[in-house]
Amino acid sequence: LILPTFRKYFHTVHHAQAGGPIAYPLLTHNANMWALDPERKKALVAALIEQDRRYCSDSAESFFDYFVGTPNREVAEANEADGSAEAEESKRESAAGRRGGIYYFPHVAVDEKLEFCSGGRGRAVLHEGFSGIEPVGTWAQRDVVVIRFSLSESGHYSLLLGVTPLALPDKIVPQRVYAFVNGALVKRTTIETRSILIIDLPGATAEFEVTLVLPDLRSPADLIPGYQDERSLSLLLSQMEVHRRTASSPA
Amino acid sequence: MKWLKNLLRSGSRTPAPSSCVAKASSVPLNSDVYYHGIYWNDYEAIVKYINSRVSGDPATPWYVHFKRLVRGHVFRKALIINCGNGWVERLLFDAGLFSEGLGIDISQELLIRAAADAAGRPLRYEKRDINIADFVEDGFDLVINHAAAHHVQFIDRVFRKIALALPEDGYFLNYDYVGPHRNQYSARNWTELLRVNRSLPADAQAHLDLPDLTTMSHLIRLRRSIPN
Repeated sequence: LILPTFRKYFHTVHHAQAGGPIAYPLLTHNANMWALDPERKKALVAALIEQDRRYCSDSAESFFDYFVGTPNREVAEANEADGSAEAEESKRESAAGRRGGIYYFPHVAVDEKLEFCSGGRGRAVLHEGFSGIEPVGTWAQRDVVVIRFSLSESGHYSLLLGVTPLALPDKIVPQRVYAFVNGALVKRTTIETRSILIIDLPGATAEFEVTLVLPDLRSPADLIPGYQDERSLSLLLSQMEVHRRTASSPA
Repeated sequence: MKWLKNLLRSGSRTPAPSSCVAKASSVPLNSDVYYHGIYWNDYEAIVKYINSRVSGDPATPWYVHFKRLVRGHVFRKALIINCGNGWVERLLFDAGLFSEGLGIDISQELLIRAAADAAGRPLRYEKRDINIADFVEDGFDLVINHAAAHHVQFIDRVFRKIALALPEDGYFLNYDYVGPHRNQYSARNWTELLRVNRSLPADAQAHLDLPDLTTMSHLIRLRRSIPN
């Protein structure tokens, strides 16, 4: 919001991008890099600068900017008198407050396949209650887990989640699933084998908080004597897609 | 599973987070979160890279570029928003950018440090919450935002007040973080970050993860709102 708001109330005299989309997150708070010997550090920082320069050029993104302006008093006075900007801002902050400080959810493209395994791009939507990413997927490891994402526009969509219940060498633990979307219960089912869990999304919004209530999570260590994994687990999520729903789509 | 039965009985609604009390603004409880850790601009090569991008010269930082931009004009009175420990206004005053300055910040602790370190410079300090402050003083012809606005909650209000506080020929000078809000990186950026990080030797890689959501107070409230 900083730059749009600056342009709203000021005439831009100068604006330059300082960069940072790659180098800033990889160097800031990176004690590993900081501890290297000076020659290695110098070479690696130089390489990161080149990556940063390339990414900035390709994406036109920057994390830090230098910008100078003179006031657009006409616009500032009009907005001060009108009060609508103040009201809109208060509304935005109240909404973010109600959503726990979250201003927007990660964007997902329709038909985009997001994988939750190592190297997959799905981690961003897994908001709460999940394990770290593992080679074959990500575990729901609490009895309430939350997925959050947004689409470009509202419409009739279904969320498809690839799920597998907790399965041990000689035992499958069926998992009851209560799926809520934006607070409303939309599905009750039991997952007994590797499945696609289909959840219809409400059509009036493009932002979704999907809460899965999973009352049957168990610890492998409790089920098999000597088993090392003491985590409480229920479903392994392998992938996610959002499809446009048609009349013939399964409910 | 009493809580689940209650959940299903109560109109099929998920438990809502405890009601959020509207506050004038959100501010940190203390100043311990600032001026710690390793930042990208602790590397000399990065400083030169930044300078090159903002001024075209690796030896010319943003504020020196600005001084040239205004042809050496010395501003009469500067307002420094969220000034912290005051290093920015000391640097810019010493560079001859303005004659006197007022620094405002929410942290009394940092303001005391800034006033002590001013060491005879014409720099004054006042405790203000920028989100709700009106600029009661007039006469500012320069407002300086160095890495402050991305901490501001009511950005429209604050920038509007700054525009109203400045004369037509006054300047608003900014160097700030304008990246993703609260580390909510784009998929493209995050994917590229993971790729580049993996390409580094193992002993140089950054620990990349999404923000530690479990430490965020709203989630603690949410968890408590779900009955056992």
